Amino acid sequence: MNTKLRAVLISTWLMVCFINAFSQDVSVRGTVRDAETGRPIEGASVAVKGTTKGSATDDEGRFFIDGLQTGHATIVASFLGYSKAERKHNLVVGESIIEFFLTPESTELSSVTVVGETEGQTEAKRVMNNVMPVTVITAKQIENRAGNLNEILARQAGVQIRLSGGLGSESRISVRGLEGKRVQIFLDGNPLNSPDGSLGINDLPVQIIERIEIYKGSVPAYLGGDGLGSAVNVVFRHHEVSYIDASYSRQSFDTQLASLILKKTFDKKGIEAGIGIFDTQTDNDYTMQSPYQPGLKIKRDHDQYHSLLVGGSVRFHKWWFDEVEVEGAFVKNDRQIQGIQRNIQHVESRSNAGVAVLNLIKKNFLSNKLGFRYNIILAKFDVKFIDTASYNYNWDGTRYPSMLGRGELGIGPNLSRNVQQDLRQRLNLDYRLSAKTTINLNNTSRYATLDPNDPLGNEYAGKNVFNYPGTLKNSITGLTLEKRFLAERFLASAAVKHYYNVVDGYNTNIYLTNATPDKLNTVTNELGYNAGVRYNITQPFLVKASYERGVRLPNNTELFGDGVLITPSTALQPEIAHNYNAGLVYDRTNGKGKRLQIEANGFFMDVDHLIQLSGNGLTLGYVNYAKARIIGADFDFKYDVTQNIYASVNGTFQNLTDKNRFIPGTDDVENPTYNLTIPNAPRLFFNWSVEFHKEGILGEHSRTRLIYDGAFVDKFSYGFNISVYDNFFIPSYLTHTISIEQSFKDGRYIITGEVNNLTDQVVINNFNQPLPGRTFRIKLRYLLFGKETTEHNH
Amino acid sequence: MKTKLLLAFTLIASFSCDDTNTDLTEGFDQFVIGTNITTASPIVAYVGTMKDLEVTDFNNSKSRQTTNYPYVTLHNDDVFVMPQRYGDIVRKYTRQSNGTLKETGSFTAPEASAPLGTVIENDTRGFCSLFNAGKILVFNPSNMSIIETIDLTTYGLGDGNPDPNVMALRNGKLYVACSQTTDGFTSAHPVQILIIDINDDYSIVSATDDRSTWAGSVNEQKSIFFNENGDMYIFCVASYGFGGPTQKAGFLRIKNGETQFDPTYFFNTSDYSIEGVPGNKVDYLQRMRYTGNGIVYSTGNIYSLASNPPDYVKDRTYGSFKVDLINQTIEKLELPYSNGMAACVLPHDEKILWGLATSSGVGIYSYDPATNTASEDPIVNTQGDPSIIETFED
Repeated sequence: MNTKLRAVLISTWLMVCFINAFSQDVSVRGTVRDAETGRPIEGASVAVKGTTKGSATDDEGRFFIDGLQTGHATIVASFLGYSKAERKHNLVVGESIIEFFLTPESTELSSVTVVGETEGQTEAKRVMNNVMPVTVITAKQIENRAGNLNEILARQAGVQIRLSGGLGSESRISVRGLEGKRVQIFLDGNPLNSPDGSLGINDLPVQIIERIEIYKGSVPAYLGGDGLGSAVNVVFRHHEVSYIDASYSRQSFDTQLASLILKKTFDKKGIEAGIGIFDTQTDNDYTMQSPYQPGLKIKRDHDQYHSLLVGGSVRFHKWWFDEVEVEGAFVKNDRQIQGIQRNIQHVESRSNAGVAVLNLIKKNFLSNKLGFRYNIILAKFDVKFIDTASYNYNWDGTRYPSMLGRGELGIGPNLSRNVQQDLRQRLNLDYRLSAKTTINLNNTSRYATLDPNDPLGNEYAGKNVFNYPGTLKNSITGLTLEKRFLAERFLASAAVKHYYNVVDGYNTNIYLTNATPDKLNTVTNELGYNAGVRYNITQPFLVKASYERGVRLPNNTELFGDGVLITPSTALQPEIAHNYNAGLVYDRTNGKGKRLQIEANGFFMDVDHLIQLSGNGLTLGYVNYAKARIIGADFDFKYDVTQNIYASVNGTFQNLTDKNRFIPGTDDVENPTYNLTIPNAPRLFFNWSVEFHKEGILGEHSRTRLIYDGAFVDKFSYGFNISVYDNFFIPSYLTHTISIEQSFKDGRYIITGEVNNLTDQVVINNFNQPLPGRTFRIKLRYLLFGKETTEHNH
Repeated sequence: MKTKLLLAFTLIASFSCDDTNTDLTEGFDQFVIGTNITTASPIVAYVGTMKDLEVTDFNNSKSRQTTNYPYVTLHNDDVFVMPQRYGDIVRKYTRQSNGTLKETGSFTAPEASAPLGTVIENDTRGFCSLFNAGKILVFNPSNMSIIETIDLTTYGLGDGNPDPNVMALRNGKLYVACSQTTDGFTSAHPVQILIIDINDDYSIVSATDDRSTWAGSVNEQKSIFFNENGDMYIFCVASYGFGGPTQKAGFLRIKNGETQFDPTYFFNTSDYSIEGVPGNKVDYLQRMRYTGNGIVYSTGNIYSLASNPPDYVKDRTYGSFKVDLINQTIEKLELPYSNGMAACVLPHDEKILWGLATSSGVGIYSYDPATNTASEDPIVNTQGDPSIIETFED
């Protein structure tokens, strides 16, 4: 461990243990009630505007917020289905009392604007009150963590991240046993479809995230992508005031992350402008045990990763639209390829991506019944793959002429450049048919061109095997009807989705000897649909059930291969899933602000036409093959044990079985693995966490958090369990992570230290892909908010 | 199937009624069976033993798990399993009387060297070709220690590796077939055999021939063999069809005592017109066994049976053939077409056994050369696509 890092961690710990400070109590107490009935509203969010202070009401509508500063403050109360209410109040030492009466307004369009974390929690609660099983990770849980997004996602029920290495390595998110392309990733509701290596979810800095919604088994139709019923939607953060957010993090394996966000609001003109720069660099030079050479320890030396993300946006609030936003972003990713079986020394990829976005939002027009959201995105991805070495290397560093003539990977050298250009738009109309009924229409359309170019690869092959362009046109339209009954206690939702997909490419079947392969075109028309209900038995206790017919469309690589050994498979059908979900949610906050959340879900999924790589012993191609059934259950328990201690635990069991009774493509030849557990999917895993948080330990306006996270993943098989001598297993692992977070001056200065995988456990969750061991991290953050003005009225 | 099993049991029981102590599970298994579980992604494989052909349903419950499409070499009671490009460890298993394979040794080949072919000279010396390293490991089959390495890298054309694959040993000479790949899946170089004198400091003589390319079918160790005269025959796959129509697959030979190819002999199988086969052509022969008198039984890929682009679920493109090396003829046998994850062949007693994964059955099929008849269904159903059928020597 870096000595300096250790010293900082120890001194921080000592400070937490031995220093006490005192502060004067300034607090506000009160109730939130329905303006029409006078009934208390449970679960309403009450926040002090411009701060991170807030609370949720208990079953008698009561709230209590302490640790405030004296002076003028604006207190905001909000709850789903009600108009937001604000009170200006001059806070003095002692307790202030404020009563809120909220007016019912039953429309999704009135969803609260994020002001503080507690309103974020309210939005999270709104999402969780949907008919779908969903886990919501809020900014509060993640923003100051020193770890990365993959680690945060992997701590959620039903979720695993299948990693192949350290930071920047290839990873696949797995939700309820389905992973990779079957789980759609959305950024602010827009599908993330970038070519491999250009942009992944783990490239997103945690501090720009407002919340992450993980839909499990069913996905709202207003998210426009395809997938087999699970999705991750990352919602970006938006502070309404001017602010500076700067952070720097240093970690083991020569890793450093730096970020700077600047935001300026011009309230009189209704303009906000912001810019963000995020830079990540790592050597990933951890030592691994070779899975191929017993006893050989390898210090990884060709696994550097550098990511640079620069983005800026300008928002206009005083035009006819409630919000007009122009965004632009540039992402640069350079990564080396680390060998596992063979010592790779020169292969690397470099990618640049540019994205321009125009967002338009108009809420509550046409007699306050219609909401309109539209965005158009222009993106260009430029991915280079470089493998031109004349030598191959042994692990001892000695070299020999390339066994391929040139190149270290695949079947020869490559110096490729793949350019993908994307034009996308998303239109969302939300119309309130009545006070209790809304209808939502969502359409995402996409036109993408793919232009690969590899002159060296072609020269080496002696013919054009790589330079075949392709295009993709698709349109996914979803229509959702939602109706609320029984004073909001019962919610019913039904949606239908239409998928239209046209892909143009070439039949690059390698056996073909004609100079120009035939052009091919595939068209897919498919329907998906879902329906669900949610019923609040009591205010905090609800049950929900849903069904979805999920559809995943085959992508370009699956349809057209790689031009060499992966041949085209133009007859591929979409993957289809029938997902059934049922769950219970209990979410209650008592008068002392202690919240108890319990969620349990059961799921049953039949998936068919699963696409997998197959072959004939010589060439490979993607086929619709597997038919699987997934049965499982997960639970999530979160509890504020005291005002200062929060604990959580979640667990997941999932079992995937092969349901192909007969071998596909045969005349009823029995499948030897029928009803056996499908390999290479984690079956049983748990996560748990204990957090201590307290304000004022290190002085007035300071806040301390100590977090322990544990995780256990049970051993799972890499092949069907057939023989008593089976030995292809991914071993179980138990990891512990300790994090300490200390903020000063109401969160202006934050220092976070973390030790991930404290016991240096050997962790592998992809076969033969060793992951980093114990990792030390320290993160410094400076966060300065500007003052709100009275002109600030959006 | 149950009827067959009952009948077999009844027959055995009737013959053994005087010997009540007879136990069908006693004694050593006769066959080594290797199958690929293609329903999984990625594919894994199993290598196990099977008592005899009375077994109607073979499963892998006592087999050894290994990687996709392994290669095996048998010597006495030992089974050497080569992982080809999927691993570095060559394992030795020894058959046990209880129908299992016990792991009795292993050696670790150099990293990513792709241990591919193994021939055993005797209990103290064996040879293992390293396809990706351009070397041959000399090892002790008894204790699996590596004795030394024969370096062939100087014979690489266009790169540092001649890509040694299958081998055959006769009269102190190790014949090594070289793929001489140009780009990993094609070869633009002449056929090459390296003849290594294993009793003379591993001195090497190179024999080349430009009538074909890519010596040896990589996944058939017996695609290099000797006939009764001691002539060496090698099947050349001509880049498995990837090299285009100008490359011709076929058999070449080096006559007994010679060190160069026989210029008078080349059986061009690519251009041979075969009756009863769509397109009348076989692209290349994949698995084969020489049975004497110039006869080779083989499976081979029939290009015309492949969908365009290939349909890896429905396509069954491998046919079964009788090849006459002397008269240079190929006859299609009436066995169902298989996919390429199986399609192996083994002469056994008076029959020819075929491991096939067809659209109507997966397992071991039987062909009787005397009557030119074949079983319509598998005589043994296998759990997974069979790519290995071998018998122990005794």
